[in-house]
Amino acid sequence: MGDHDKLIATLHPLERQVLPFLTDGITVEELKTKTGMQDVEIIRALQWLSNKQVLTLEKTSRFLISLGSNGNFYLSQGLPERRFLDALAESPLSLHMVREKASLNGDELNVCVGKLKKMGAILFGQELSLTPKGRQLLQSTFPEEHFLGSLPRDTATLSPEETQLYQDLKERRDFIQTKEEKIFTVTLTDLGRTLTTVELPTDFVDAITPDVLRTGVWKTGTFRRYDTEINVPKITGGRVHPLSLLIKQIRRIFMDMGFQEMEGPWVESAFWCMDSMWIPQDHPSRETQDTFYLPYQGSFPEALAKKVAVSHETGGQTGSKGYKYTWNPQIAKQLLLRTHTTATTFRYFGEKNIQAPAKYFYVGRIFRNEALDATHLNEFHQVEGFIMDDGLTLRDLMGYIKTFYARLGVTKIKFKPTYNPYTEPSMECYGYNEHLGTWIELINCGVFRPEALEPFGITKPVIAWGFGLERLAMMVYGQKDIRQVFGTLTDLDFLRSYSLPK
Amino acid sequence: MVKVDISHRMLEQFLGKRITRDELEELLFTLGYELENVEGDMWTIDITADRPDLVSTAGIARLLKSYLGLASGLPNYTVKKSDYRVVINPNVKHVRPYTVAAVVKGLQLTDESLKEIIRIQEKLHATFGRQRKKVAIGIYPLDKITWPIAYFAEDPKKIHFIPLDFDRSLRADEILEQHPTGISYKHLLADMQQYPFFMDARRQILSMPPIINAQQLGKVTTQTQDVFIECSGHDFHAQNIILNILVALLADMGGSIHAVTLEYGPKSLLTPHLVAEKMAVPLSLFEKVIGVTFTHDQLQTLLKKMQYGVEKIDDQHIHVFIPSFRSDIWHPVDVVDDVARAYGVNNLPFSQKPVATTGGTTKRVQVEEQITDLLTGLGFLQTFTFALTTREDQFTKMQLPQQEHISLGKTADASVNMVRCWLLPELMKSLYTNKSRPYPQKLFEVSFVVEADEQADVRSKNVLKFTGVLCDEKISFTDARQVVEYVLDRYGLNYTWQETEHASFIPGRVAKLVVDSKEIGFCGELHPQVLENWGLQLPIVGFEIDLEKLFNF
Repeated sequence: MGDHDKLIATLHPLERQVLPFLTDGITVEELKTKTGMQDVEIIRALQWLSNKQVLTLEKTSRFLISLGSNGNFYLSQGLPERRFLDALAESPLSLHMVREKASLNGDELNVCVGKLKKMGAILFGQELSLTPKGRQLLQSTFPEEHFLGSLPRDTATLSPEETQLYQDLKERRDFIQTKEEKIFTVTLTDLGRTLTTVELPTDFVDAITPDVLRTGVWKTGTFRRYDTEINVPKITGGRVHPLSLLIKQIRRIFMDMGFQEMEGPWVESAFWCMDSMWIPQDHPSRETQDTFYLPYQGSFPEALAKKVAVSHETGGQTGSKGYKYTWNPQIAKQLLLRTHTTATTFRYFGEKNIQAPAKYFYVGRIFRNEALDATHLNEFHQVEGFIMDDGLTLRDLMGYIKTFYARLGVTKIKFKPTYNPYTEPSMECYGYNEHLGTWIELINCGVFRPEALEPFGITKPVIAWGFGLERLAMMVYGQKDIRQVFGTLTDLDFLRSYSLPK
Repeated sequence: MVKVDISHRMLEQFLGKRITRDELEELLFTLGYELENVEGDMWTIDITADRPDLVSTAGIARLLKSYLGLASGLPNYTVKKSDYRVVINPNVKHVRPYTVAAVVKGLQLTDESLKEIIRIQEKLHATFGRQRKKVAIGIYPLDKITWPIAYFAEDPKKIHFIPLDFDRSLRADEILEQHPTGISYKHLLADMQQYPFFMDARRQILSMPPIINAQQLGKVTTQTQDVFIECSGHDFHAQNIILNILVALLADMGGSIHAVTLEYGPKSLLTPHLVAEKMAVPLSLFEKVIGVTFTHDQLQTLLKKMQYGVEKIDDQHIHVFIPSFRSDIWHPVDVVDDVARAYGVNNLPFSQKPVATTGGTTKRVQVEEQITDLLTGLGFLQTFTFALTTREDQFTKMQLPQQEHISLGKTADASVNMVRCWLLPELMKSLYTNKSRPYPQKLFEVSFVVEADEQADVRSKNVLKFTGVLCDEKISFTDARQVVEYVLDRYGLNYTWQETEHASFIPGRVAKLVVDSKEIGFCGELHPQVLENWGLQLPIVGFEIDLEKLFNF
């Protein structure tokens, strides 16, 4: 297939319609008459042809002056100044009478008096009368009348006097209006000149319609070729939330590693959220600035609470000294919005009779009493996992975390010892972010304390880790504002267009 | 995390060697702390809340010296005998029941070390002392005191003295109203009939704990060489620890420690009690927790690095001696933790002992994922709205009377006052937030709301809801109902729609969904008044389905 044929095969029906009529300098108006097409269709076809180097399209503008609504009215009813002079044609009159006879409103009257006085057409005495100049004017045409009568006009064709008139009339309300009109000037290229002479095939198959298929015209016709390389308009569709996508990925990792998912209530008692895991009742993390305490009291299993009390007070049979204070059940009854998902882990210890070997995980919402800003939310998601079995050590905790991290794409990790009231040893795990070139603290982990486990009769080691989901989401989706990755204030544009995590 | 400002120069003096920023950073990381900031000589270190003994340059230096082998093992402090006595009146019992005390002599204070002492005092008050409630520290120049000292409670209207940094004498209760420190800590005494005081044998007031010292007897300067220290409070154990931390610190600065006799009625005791507590630790515990077999010698070295004294009992146990300024050793695992730090957790080889279990998720998660698949297939965007919201959004804007709900107490963010009890208003808020974004907007969410439940131990329950909204120039009841039916049909459910009234929707354009004669949700066209309340200018249809009732999870 020759270049010309190939080009011809890509022509859109609109282009084919226009092409035979093209000559240098032909206007859209002329093409409209010749083809019977609409303005927009012609312009679109010309632009496409210009993209195909069939022609060059020069776009210029002209400004057309036409009558405004008042201009139309005055042209038929007479300009106010004309009516003013007409009223005085027979005899001098008072201003009031002129106004009445010429039926002018206040504004029109003022304009007329000012203008006619300046021109020396009227004389103020007892009454108003015409000067000889005025009589002369009465017989002739006003330049304004002449100008308005000549509309529509192109601004480019105005004489200097007319330009002045144009400026003056623009000041008068709705006398005239100016509209920009785009002018397209066609110049054919050599290719274009050749094509206009070629006889275009008539058996083009354009859109494959049921009709085309039914009649089988495609069997003999030529398929129009599309430009498959140009941009197409973007679409958006239904999508899962980016946070949901990340949760799915994390859930998948845990499930692959043999973990069962947990679930638990958002509203918790201090008992499950703090006391049950040996957080002392005067621990700073219990303070109101961190926790949403609710104006309600709940309850807890009394038998278990007795064991928890012993564990706090004396350390029970664990070999611990305990906190050496009197455990107060009232404090434990306080209801709150859970501050960590470990509340649910301990509920499982207390309510689900978990037996080793066991591996559980949870992705759940937690709450902190903070003010909202770009880096702080007062509710967010925590991911937590625990393993209970004989013989688990700190090294296994580190090994499981290494596997977990590797599945998230982080291979370089290091640990820092830390303090946590319910795990000992406790560590923070840092992952190396290759893109940022920095170590980022992500996971908190540890071995549950014997004092925390004893009330539940758990004697086997339990290792656990947890982290905040939104901070990871911010990194994964490159967001600086935490409110974009979670919450009611998220921008739908982001939800529609976020890039999938690598 | 507790931030501690230390002097780099003083640190090097204590260590007797130079230490660079990088060296310190790495050492601290290994031990579990962080070099947070460096500004000239002032270096800021993040320590953890369990180690009040590290809130000073001396405390950090003491640990590093031990860890680096410059002075390993149990720090040894001697307490000299003395005749100093504090007589405790039983009437303090209901006010501020305990005090412990010590005398330190021979200090050569500089501006720098005096500032450090004040800084430590403030830091201990703020953290371990729980804003002076649990423990408050008082330090006084010894030479102005006539012994013995009395600790007693008295009607505040009967006591006058000049508070520290003040120019005139005030009545004790006036101090709470007029002195800046008095105003700050007023709440600790305000409700009491009697306030606690320290007074010497010449009836001069030393202080009114936990508020303020007296100007004459309670101001320490660089001229001060000998000091009397007391810690008053409600937790005798914690007070002893704090006192021990302070005297160890002053001893490290060159002071000598002298005992004070505390006379609690017929009982008397001596403080500071700097005797290392002995704890038996099973040798097997180190291996059981850390996963490494240590020899006795190795353990001895590692424990000494962490300031413990060590004594072998038998082949199965060792005795460790815990420094008297440590308050975080409750159980042998705490000793094990210190050994792991001394060994360096990053030196431990990874292990992953197989634990044979089956993975799985919950029924609720499965349903959430199924509905999410169906709805995204229909072109809906999934949303994650906040659970914390307002009565205004949940009820007023939706034209509903207030229903039972979980109310929040005091909140840091004034824009929330309850936990959502239905989801639809939160999706309305999402639509409002995205008013300028392209339409149609079709949003859904499968998530929890919290409903009151008097039977539950937490007097409420999480309820999984499935909610959606459609917003466009042309949208009607049918569009919403079709979505609900699309989902219900996929589960092969039998359902009926019954006309109902709901103030959030246009009358005659809302229906309730009934499955097995249970009402499980509703669907309708949002009332124009509701749209106006939300500031929305396009029609909206929506639905909310209770998945708990639908699936009986």
